[in-house]
Amino acid sequence: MKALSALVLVSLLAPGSECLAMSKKRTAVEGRIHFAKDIPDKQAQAMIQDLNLLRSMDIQSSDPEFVKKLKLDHVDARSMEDWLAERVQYIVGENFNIQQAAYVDRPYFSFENENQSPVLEYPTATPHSTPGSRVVTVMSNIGGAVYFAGKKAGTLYGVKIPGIGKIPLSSPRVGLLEVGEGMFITTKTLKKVGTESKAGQLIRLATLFHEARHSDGHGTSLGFFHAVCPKGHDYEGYSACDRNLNGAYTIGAQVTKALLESCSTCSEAEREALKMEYLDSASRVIQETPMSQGELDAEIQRLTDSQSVCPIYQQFPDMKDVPEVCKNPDAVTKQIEELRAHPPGTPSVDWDDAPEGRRS
Amino acid sequence: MNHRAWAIGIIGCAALFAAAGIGFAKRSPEQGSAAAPQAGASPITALTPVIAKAPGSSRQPEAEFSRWSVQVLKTLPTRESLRQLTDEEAHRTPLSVQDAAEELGRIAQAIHDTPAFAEEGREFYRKCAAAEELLTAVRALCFADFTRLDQRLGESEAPAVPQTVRALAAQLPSGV
Repeated sequence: MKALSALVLVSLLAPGSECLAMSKKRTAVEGRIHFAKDIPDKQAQAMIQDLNLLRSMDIQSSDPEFVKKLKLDHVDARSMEDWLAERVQYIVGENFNIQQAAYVDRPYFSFENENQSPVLEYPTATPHSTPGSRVVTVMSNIGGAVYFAGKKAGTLYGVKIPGIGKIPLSSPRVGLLEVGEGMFITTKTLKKVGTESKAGQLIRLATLFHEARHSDGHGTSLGFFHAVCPKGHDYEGYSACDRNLNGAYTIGAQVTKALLESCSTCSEAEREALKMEYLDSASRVIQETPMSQGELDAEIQRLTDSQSVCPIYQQFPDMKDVPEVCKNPDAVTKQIEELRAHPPGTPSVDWDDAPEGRRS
Repeated sequence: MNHRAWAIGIIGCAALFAAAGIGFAKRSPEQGSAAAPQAGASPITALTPVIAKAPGSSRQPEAEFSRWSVQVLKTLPTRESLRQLTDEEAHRTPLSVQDAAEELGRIAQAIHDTPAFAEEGREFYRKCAAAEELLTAVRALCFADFTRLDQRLGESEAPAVPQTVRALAAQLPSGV
């Protein structure tokens, strides 16, 4: 009861903070982000406090990519909040049963970019199983996945959110996330004594921004789906990388870096934790995709074919406009050898982040 | 209700969650300890502030720090240890990596609080950055810390690290 009174008091006193205990409806960012009834109070409280912390921060960023990737108008907490609230609207708990909660809102629904779908990459890693271990949810963007499933089926699905009601998933921007216990498991340093450190909160915020990015994109960029990490990568074979320069890992990394630069009271140990978080995310951005074997074979064939006309020019030495490949056939041979030895790659680029559909 | 569409949708939904991993982030609470051997780091860690600050201690704080850092090096996650993760666990920073951050945080804090540890600290970061079996992100953090200390103490021989580690470390903001 004491704790409850204190909470009400803190809610009333803290500017910009959201009222938790006085109302059944738990919200953050001026009522723009709603926490479903099934989320334990402790978890909702923690996330509301995280968002209040963000609001209270004087955001600094020395990296121009931060503004560029998030397309922010200003480097400040308000702009970051707005960015988040445009992509996250509802957060449900880890026991949320999508199969029970989903319903058909409109069959035969006409979706935008109907004939365009993102390329899905399937993980190839086969982890050693750890018997008896329990996997807990950290956070996932289930709204984007349900929207995409609906688009595939030509049906607009909706979900019934506990304590909120029926919400049609007419766009990934409806912003439906699932949060679980894993989001709140932190190491000892991040917990401090009896309370939580700022770094722990900041890492959670970065996770929220990461997930929010999955509400973006349209057509082939829809949902900013992850890519399978390439051979030789630390996370090789896992669907834990991005094949673009502005996906969820980039957003998470950029936000972590900005929060690190803005945390004036973080200890050396906390800074180190934030740096690790940043590096782990940044390391998952694939900078270049090597040419596939098929593409390589085709390119070699093209070069080989280009030499097929050379015997004609050799037969008639007076012919004009001799192609370059026939003037120096050794150069083409060298080019083919070089291709085989060092197949070129396609550099990753920013994906179009304009959203598909709209909130209804 | 269109039952067929419904069924397709739900199956599609489940398959997409599993296959595409859109924003999926799950992990095991046991993951950290399973992936990173503990090697007795905690008791030594707990002793460190005492060692560093105890007046007239018979132990050499620098030597003690050095011993501790050798233990920490053994606990850092390897690339191989990541193979134990499920796809969902790999989606977000695994607990073993967070544990590593915690240990590296303690090292950084100890060096910050006790400048006499800087020389041993630099040696620790050199070994950590050069360790090929460790995660790229861990090596990059160690390389950045090595560089920072190296600038302070006077340049020494840099560890042999691949370009990926250097490039990643260079992305960290300076002065934080």
